[in-house]
Amino acid sequence: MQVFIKKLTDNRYLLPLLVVTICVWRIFVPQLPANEGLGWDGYRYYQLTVDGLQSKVLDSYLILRIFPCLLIHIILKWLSISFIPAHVILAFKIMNTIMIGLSAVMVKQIFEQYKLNPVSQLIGFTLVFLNYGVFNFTYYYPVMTDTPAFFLSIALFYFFVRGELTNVFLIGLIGAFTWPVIFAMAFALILFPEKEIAFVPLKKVWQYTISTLCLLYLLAMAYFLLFITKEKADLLFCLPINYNMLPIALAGVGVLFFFIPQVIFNQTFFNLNYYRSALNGNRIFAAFVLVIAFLVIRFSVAVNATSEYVTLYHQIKIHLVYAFQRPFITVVSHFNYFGCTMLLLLLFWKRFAAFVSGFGLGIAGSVFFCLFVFALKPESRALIFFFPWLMILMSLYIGKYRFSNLFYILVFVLNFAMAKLWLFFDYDMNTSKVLTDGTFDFPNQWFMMHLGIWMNEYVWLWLCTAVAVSLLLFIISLYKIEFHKKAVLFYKIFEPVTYE
Amino acid sequence: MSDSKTENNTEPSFKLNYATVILLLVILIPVIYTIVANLEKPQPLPLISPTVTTPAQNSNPASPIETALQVATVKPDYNSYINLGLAYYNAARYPESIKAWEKALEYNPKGELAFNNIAAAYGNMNNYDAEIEICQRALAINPDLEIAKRNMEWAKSMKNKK
Repeated sequence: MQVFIKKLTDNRYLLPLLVVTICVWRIFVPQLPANEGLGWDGYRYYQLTVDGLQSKVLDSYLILRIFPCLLIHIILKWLSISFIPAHVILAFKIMNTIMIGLSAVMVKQIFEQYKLNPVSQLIGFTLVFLNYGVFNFTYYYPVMTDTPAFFLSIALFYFFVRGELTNVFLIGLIGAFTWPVIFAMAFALILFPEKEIAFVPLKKVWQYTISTLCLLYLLAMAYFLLFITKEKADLLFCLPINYNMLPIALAGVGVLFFFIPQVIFNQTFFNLNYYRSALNGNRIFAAFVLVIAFLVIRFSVAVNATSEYVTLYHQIKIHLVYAFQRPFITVVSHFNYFGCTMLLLLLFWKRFAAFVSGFGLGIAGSVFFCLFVFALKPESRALIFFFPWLMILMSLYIGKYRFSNLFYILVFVLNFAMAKLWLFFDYDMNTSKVLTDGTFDFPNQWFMMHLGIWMNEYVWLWLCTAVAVSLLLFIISLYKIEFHKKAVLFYKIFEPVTYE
Repeated sequence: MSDSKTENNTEPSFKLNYATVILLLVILIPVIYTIVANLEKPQPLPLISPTVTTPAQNSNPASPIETALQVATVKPDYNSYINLGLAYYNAARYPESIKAWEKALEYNPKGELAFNNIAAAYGNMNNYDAEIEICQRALAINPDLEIAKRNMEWAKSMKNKK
């Protein structure tokens, strides 16, 4: 087995080729029948693809998502291919496949750069690619900007670790019109490109102060949104908030908010000398040019309407209110969509956060910002612009150690199960069986459950059970348990892998 | 992170390489295309609903009207006439497209998409009053039909500009 894995990872292109092969197979699976395969959001992207910048649906939000549609628009025009839905869907599937393939090549090179051993590389590929978001959603609902965002996220990290700031700049500019948060992430990476800084733990009193402030922000926002403005989980067919379970849901989200800031608990970030050494004129100028370039392009295109999506209140609302639908719904939804990376984050968070902070304020600040603002929304696909960073960083983190075979097997089996490549959806537009709480019943729930906020209560319960069992199995695999002896965690047993 | 696990030649800098060239091309192509397209000043087209695509249409894109006519003759139903109307519409033959969609309504009098498409065709003939009125009929059947709402808004804005 070891020899097989070594042969698989020794070649620079073999693992990426395996990923592309799976993608090519997925091109031929059926897709969501709604709007002839375009879906719902996809129908808007189809309209953007057909009419480009002349589209009547172009508003202040969609202009920030138009880049992939514009590329397909230009290519189909040049090739004189008509814009019927079937052609646009196929074009998106091909583009998505190319992007996933390129992402695989970049991930492989990142792993090579950090000298991960063959088993860790294989596990890394499992974490990044073998999940529902990459291999399933991409092809079942292809006319979206999710896969371009996935690709840009990985490209941003790749160019960052290679120190290629010009390319970080260009990815940021493309990202601004594909998935706008990527622009902010690129901005941070240009300003703080140092990727090997010392980790000095922040004083405990400051740690508790910052964590408490985050928790207070959550409590204040939750109170404001749920009891002052009386916001509800009101999207059609979504799971309504159960107010009887709200205290548990609030406690669950509160715990997450309390621990999120650990990723910036590096004393170095609170030292002025760090900023004196990290910032320089060229990079500040480049960041300034990036903002100007974005503004020039953005305001040179006329839009037909202002979308509420670009308002601060709406962004805070949609990313927080749905986290209270049910206790732990965010965690179970991210597990369902991205596989066991979510569980590994829970298990290793403290040490993982310290590891991430060693990549500098560009990475750590972006991770903190994205977790704080966006990560709580149970609609996991909305995190596709950022979760690849967590997957790659987690791969690099666990690649530092040698775990038990059971641990590696668990990662593979759980991600394989959650990717659900074996599940061919049979979404039926004509028989929408709706439950009494307004959510979809099966068989349509097989698809809706992956959109997080539309999962029904049974699915939430089953996923909670799956998360609990999986966590238990992971803990068993991480501890060396012997009768009559105190169990000890893995890193006290296994020496870190040396890189010589 | 302080050990020597990364290669040494990755110090951050603004160096250029082949990836920079590819990324610049990816950015410049849409920018140049947009500038050229703006020079031609194309009129924005009203929204029209996507329709069921027949295999025949895919295999012979050069003569979509003939193909759609054949399909409508062999299998006259709502979808066939929707497709025929779309073929006429794409060829800017708006009066014929309206007739085809009116024929589609004979097979499904509550076909809100047919109403929407007829409205779009009227809009392209600068008859915004008719477009607004027919959009209202589409919305009376399905008040949630976003495409008809947007067509109606567009027609109203164009009417105000006149």
